[in-house]
Amino acid sequence: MKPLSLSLRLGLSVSMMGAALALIIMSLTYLALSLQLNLIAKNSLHGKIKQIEHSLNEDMDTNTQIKHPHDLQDIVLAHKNLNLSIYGVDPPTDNFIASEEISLPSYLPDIPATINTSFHSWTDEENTRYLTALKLVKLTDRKSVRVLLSLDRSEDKTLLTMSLKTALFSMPALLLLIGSGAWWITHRGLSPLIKFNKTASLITTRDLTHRISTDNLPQELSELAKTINFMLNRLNDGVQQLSQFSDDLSHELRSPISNLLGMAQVTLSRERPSEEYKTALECCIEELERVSRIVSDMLFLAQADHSASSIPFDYIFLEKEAVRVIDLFSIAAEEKQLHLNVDGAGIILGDRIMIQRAIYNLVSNAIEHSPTHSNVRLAIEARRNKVSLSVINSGEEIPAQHLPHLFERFYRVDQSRSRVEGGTGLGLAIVRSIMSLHGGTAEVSSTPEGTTNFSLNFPIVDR
Amino acid sequence: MRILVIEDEPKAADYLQKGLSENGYIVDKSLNGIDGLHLVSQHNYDLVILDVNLPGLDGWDVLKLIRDRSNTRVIMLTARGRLSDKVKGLDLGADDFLVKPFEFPELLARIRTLLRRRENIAIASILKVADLEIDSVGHRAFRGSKRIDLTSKEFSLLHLLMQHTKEVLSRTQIISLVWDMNFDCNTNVVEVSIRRLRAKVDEPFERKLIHTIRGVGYVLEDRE
Repeated sequence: MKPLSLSLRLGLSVSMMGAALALIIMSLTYLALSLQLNLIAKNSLHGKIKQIEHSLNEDMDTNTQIKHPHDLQDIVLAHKNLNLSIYGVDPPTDNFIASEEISLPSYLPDIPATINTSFHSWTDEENTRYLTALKLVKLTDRKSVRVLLSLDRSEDKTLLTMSLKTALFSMPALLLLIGSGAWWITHRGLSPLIKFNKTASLITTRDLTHRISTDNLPQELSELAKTINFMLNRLNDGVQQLSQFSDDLSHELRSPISNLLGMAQVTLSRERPSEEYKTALECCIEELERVSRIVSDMLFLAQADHSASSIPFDYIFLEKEAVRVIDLFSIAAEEKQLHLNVDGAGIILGDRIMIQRAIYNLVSNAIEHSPTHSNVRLAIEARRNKVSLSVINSGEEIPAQHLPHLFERFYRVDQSRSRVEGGTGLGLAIVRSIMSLHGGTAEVSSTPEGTTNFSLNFPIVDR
Repeated sequence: MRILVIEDEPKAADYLQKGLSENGYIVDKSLNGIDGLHLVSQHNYDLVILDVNLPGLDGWDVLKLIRDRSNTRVIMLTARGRLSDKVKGLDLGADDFLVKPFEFPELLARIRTLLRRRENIAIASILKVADLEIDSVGHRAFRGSKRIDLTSKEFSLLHLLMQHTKEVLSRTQIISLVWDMNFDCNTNVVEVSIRRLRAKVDEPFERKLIHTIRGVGYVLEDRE
């Protein structure tokens, strides 16, 4: 089954709540009304009884004769829903005042009356409700009579029934009104989502430029829209980088491959002495080594992106690895009359080959960019929150606009300059990758005086 | 020593057969796993070189089936260098695992190591090639009766070349064994070190022992 729309769901649940609420209010109203009507009925009976008592006191003589029964009846007759019966007590007599309109239930006249008014509710055969007030009235001659004053309550009943009916009949309409109101409000409130939908349907990997406009959006949705826009920005950057990267990759591979092809074709174009074939093959191998290095560097980067958790780490003494790398470069440094030195010490957790590789790449760059007769210094510092290894060399300043991009794949500071012999353009990207695998960072800074400092920051080892 | 190459790319299979034959091995080749298995069951090979990516029956299946019936040593070749592949190969019983592109001398070196494992040759402390002699315990080198002064790296390099006399060692192998750098680094340290070693070991003398195989590596041998 298709899930209900949000507007419909909200509309339905609001109507249910409305229904429950209306029901509660209705029953409370009904209860209050009937209580109030009872009270009014009792009060009016009480008042009438008082009047009757008063006129009985004046009118009745010792013979239990009523001088002016009309006066009594006048009190009652003004209200056609009232009915009066008076019985003698000692000796018991029949009703003094004959009003045949209602027949009291047989038990009522027998209920002993007191001087305090008592009330009895009853229903006759025609299902009409009555309230009867019963009181013992002492006459002047010390005799007593029982006064029964009955009130026909069919009007009250009709009123109650009518109010109940009205409420019940209006209920469905009310519910419909509340429900559709809720639906409409929700629907209107959610209408900005259509914007989201429109934008989302426009986005593909080819075109990530669409953004959700945050104008006139309610606060909650505007936050969401901003987050989504940020996400799209990041995705866009990622996709741009990726496509730039594959462009670069094919470019980087194209030149050695075209060299190879050309060399082989030229060599084969005519007969040559075998020495020349040999030279050509040797050249091919050099070119191929470059291709092979680019491919293995790429593979390394691709793996580094995915194998974050599967590499076992050991304790590594950074100074030992630094010295090992320096050893490898001692001859190159000697030829350029550079002075290489390592100072400081620090222990980290890591993969030895990767750490060597990161240090190697930095030192290799430093030596390449150092002028003759200068120093390349490897400084290891164990600080409170990190262990860092810095490779510091002097040379030309790296312009500030290049600094944030140096660790990108195939990034060149000088576009016109071709790759240094054998370089793949991936060295610093590999450094960054290695550092992120180790939970650390790689940073670079360069001063106008030409001191360039590449540093590897490792997290400290908990021991 | 008899080697079987199971590799579906004809060019790769050809150059492997050629290269290995020229290095003194008897080499058979097969372009698919089924033929390869058939050959394994018919001959007693000392070593099988097995490509992972084969049509039909792939390298993993072939490896399992070979392991079911023999203890022949197996070197797996793959174009995919994922760690999980390597672990899988070694788990299934491969003896070694090489990622393409690899250097031919490295393959040769691994084959030699694998085949040598059985023989357990004791490594002598004194090595001698022609009139060049080194004493690895005393860290001394002599050419005839003349003592040669070497730095410690130069000595390590010479020691390595003499241990593997007549074997071509690639630059990567030398860097890994002498400088303990185990990744493919692009440095000229080997070229320069060899040049310096030559200046001390070869140049003053008539018989040249250290030879460059351009594009491949270096070898120390007496060619006379």
